[in-house]
Amino acid sequence: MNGFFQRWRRPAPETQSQAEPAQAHRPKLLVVSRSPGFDAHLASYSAGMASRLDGRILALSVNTLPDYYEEDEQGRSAFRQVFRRKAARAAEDFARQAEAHNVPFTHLCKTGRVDNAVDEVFRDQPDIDIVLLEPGIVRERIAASVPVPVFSLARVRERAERASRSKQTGRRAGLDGNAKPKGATFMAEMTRKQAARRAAVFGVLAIGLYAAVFTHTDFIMKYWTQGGVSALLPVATVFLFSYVHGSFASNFWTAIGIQASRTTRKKVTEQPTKRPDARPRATLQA
Amino acid sequence: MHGFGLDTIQFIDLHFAQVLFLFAVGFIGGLVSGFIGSGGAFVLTPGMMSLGVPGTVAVASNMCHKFPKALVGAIKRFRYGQVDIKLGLIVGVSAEVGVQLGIRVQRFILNTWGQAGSDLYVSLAFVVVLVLVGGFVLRDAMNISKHGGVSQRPKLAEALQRIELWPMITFKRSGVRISLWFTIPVGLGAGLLAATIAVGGFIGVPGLMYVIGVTGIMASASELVVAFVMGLGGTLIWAFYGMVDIRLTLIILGGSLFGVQLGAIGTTYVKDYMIKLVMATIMLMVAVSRGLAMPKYLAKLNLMTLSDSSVSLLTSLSFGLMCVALLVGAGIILAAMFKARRREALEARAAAESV
Repeated sequence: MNGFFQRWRRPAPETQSQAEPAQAHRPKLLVVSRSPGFDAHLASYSAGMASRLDGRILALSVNTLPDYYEEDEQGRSAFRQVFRRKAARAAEDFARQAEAHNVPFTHLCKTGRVDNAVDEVFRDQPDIDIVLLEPGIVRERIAASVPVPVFSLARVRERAERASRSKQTGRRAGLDGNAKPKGATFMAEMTRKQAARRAAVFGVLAIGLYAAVFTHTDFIMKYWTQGGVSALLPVATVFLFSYVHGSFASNFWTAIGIQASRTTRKKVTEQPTKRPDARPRATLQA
Repeated sequence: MHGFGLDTIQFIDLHFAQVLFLFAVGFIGGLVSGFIGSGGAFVLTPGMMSLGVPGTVAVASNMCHKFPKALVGAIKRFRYGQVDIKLGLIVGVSAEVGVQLGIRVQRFILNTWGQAGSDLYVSLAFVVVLVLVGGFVLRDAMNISKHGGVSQRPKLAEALQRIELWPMITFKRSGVRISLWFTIPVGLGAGLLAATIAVGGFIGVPGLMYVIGVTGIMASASELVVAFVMGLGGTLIWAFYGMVDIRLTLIILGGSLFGVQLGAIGTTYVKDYMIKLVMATIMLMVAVSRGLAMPKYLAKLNLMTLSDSSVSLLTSLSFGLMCVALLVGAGIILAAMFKARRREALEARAAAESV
């Protein structure tokens, strides 16, 4: 019976770390992979990013199939060991890249679901500032439970490609596609400029709408207060105004630099209460 | 049937000062609504009436501005991941029923005790509900503030969530699973209050927080969905009778769409308990304001004697205090927001310098 519980017990987190230097205020990047290796682009991107931020890297390999070999404990244990060994080897390559950029590097290996593994890491090390995910990991699932910005490499790549495309067509874009990232300030400025343009367009439209109403008040007050089916007129009017004037107001605040906090993606909900699982479980009748 | 109000209702002529007043009140009311999910209406209706707008037109025009404002605020806050649409719609439907119930109660009181009785009932509802609920919310906000801003799920909500009563509903966004039967009283209460004092959120938001168990930020954001549902339903009814003065609505909307977005942005800078603090402050001040209005109605019902000058003094004091309540709420929101912005900017600068 004891053996049975041991067999089904959640595998203990497997930690393997290289000495982490004491770095009190350096931004910490959590780089997550769910394969034993690390995507080459992800490794170089995160090493470069950590170097620019004068930060440090915590690499996390997650074995999402710890019980892949279902036949026996020996097989499972061997599989985990193989994963761990491969992950450690890949981490050495990654560590070398980080070292080349003078970035302190730590590696962790965990088993289970990626979001749970990331949660566990956050519980132990709440000082992580940014999470970078390898392509294929669903960003939203991680972002839902993590209080810091989460980026997926696929998205970073997409954005870079889009930016470089729009650069080729002569348009300025927020993130430069080549090796000269302009940084957050540049992006913020661009967003504000775009917002200012939009605010101008919607502002003119809103003024036009208001002018139209207030220069024809007699006509409007006659038909808009007739009641009955005409009830739809005021409702439709406010919908139209709320779209045009609402867009103007929204872009206006952005244009003058009043935007949501950068840490908006903080956790606003606790973990959803899971429905109690009442389904019969496959149990071993020993 | 329609065209009902046309012969009897006089729509006022508008002057620049009035337009400015409505725009400003719209802006501040919008700011508070965007932040705590409701509010502003309690100043707008008497404010419009003080400009000479007939009561029904004031209520109708106010309601017609309320739902697009709530919609814009809800969309903005949805982008910040703060809105539980499912929760808002479910509570909104029961709130709509509550509004209809509230109108019937109002009509019954009006028929039985006349206008002064009805006014007294409204003021009494204001004072009792706002003092009880506002006091509770304030105590909770102070407790959380004392414990470093960490809020815990309310015990009542936890107990209710444990009761497995069909049909159980899971609100994924808020992380709550609760029986439909416990959401209905919240909606009904919000609707009843909305029909009585025009601000359903003073029951809706605390109900969502303490009965259903969602966070303050999520409750105030989802209340905007409830306000949208209630406001749209109410507006269609008022507009059916031709009571909406679209000019007034559009002027208020002009200010409130700026305000509601600023309030929504403000929620991203503050801790959860700030919502409770602002809400409780406004509720308690409004309660005092309505308390000041009560002697007037008691005098009308011959339950106490009061000179005309005292009545007018108390009336202006009452209205003034309501405006102050709104201003204080807006002040707290803006101060908290700009303080947090400054802190963030300083941190960003420090981080940039350390690179």
